[in-house]
Amino acid sequence: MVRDASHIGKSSDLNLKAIALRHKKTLTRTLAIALFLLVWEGAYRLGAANPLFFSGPSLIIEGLIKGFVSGSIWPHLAASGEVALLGYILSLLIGIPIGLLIGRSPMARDVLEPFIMAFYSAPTAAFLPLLIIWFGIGLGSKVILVVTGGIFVIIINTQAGVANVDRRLIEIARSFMAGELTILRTVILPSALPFILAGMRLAIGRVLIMVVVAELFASNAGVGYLIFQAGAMYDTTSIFIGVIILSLTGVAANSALRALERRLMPWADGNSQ
Amino acid sequence: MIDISHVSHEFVAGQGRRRSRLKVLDDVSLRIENNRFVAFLGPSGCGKTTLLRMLSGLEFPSQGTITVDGTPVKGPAADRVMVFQEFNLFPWRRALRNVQYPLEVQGAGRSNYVANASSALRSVGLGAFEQFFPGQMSGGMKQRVGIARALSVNPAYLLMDEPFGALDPLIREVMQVELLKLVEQSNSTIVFVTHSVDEAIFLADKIVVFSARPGRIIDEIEVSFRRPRWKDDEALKQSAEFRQYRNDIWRLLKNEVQQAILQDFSTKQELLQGAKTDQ
Repeated sequence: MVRDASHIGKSSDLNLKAIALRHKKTLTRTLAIALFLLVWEGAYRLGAANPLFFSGPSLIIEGLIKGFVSGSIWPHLAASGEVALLGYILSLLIGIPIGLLIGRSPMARDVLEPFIMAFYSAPTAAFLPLLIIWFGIGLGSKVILVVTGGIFVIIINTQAGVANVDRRLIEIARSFMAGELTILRTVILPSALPFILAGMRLAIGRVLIMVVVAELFASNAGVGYLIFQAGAMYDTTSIFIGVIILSLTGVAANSALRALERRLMPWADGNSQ
Repeated sequence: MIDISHVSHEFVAGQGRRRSRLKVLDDVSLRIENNRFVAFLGPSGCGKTTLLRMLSGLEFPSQGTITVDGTPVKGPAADRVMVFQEFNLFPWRRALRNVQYPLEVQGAGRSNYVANASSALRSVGLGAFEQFFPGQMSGGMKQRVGIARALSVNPAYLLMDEPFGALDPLIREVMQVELLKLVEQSNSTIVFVTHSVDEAIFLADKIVVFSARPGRIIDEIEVSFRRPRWKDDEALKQSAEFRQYRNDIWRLLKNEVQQAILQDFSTKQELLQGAKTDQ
């Protein structure tokens, strides 16, 4: 099963003990990160590594702030953001309907599944040279590469969600004279929603990978380009800045989707149908 | 009126040489008059649920015909609704929205279906629970929602498949009384599948007794208690007449139940054999 189960067990927020426990969790995590940064900074200052190959947290944070204040980082964020967002949205707009289709129609599944499995299992980054030959190094080739990264987990998770729908619920809808489209809207979609959202979260990481890959080779702006350029100049601090931006983006997108999940599925807490 | 004429049914499983057939209904003919409460009673596996599903249009007989008000059953219809043993509520819909589902699907206007659903929920005593999800309710409450959902469309035929089978015995008795309270004043025709002899006698005007698989009708018993019955349920259940019905029905069913137990055993053996040869 592809579905992520980590949202289970987060129900009784009302209880004081749970709040205390939750804060303890936050505190522990903050302390762990602080300790890690401290050790890193200490090691860097004591000269544990050659500064040509390594950088320290204070330098990285300073560089990050400078980048934002001077505005030099914005064009890169805008370029990467455009590619990532377009690729992600296209992955959803194409992937969810395909997942629903192959989940509902055995015929469509038999036709499409071999291709989907082949692409899903392959490192689609390898298609980049082909995409550059076909579409040049503009926005198009990058967005397409990102879609090849994001779309297949969306398709496969949506299909798993559809396959997991309780047949009795489809039957009850049918017994009330619901047509195929109504069943899709009122039974299949809400029932598959947890799977689709899990797929959307998995897709975030894959989309970010593809953004970087595309920008390494086919770009003159973007966070991936920034990292590549910094690498060529042994500017380790800037490499770390790029990596941290990507990582924070992934974490933020993931949290946003979790919030969306709680909003869209208020029934998921303590459900025992 | 429901007219079941020479209905037989076989389930076919597997393919090729592994193909096996299971006959569940054998030449069943029955007429169900309007405005009556009819119980299908029989041992497990006798095909009574299958027959009920055929009445609803979710399944079709291998042989024979079923007509409702003179028209052959070709699929589900708005005037025939099911209530299931496993409730089958939509977990993502609150109680009210579960009840309004059939009205919504059938395109009643929004103000219409909210008002209807709300009054249907009140009629089953859940007026205060409109905004609860099924996951937050007990089994008894869920089945009340299931019944409200069915009654909200004011169906001509209410088809109930062991609706209280998943509830504990105490709640079950309360639900029987509540069901009578609801339907004795309506003019729905009700077909009610059950394993429970007492439940059948208490609720039904007519009890159709089925044999072990393949299900045949052994007898049709008219139950002559006057309605409304829900007011004096205890007196009725303790009456000599009630005991007499129970004895008569048990005499009919005893052998069938014993046969059903053996059938169940041999089916399991076959399955085990099959599983072994598969390896």
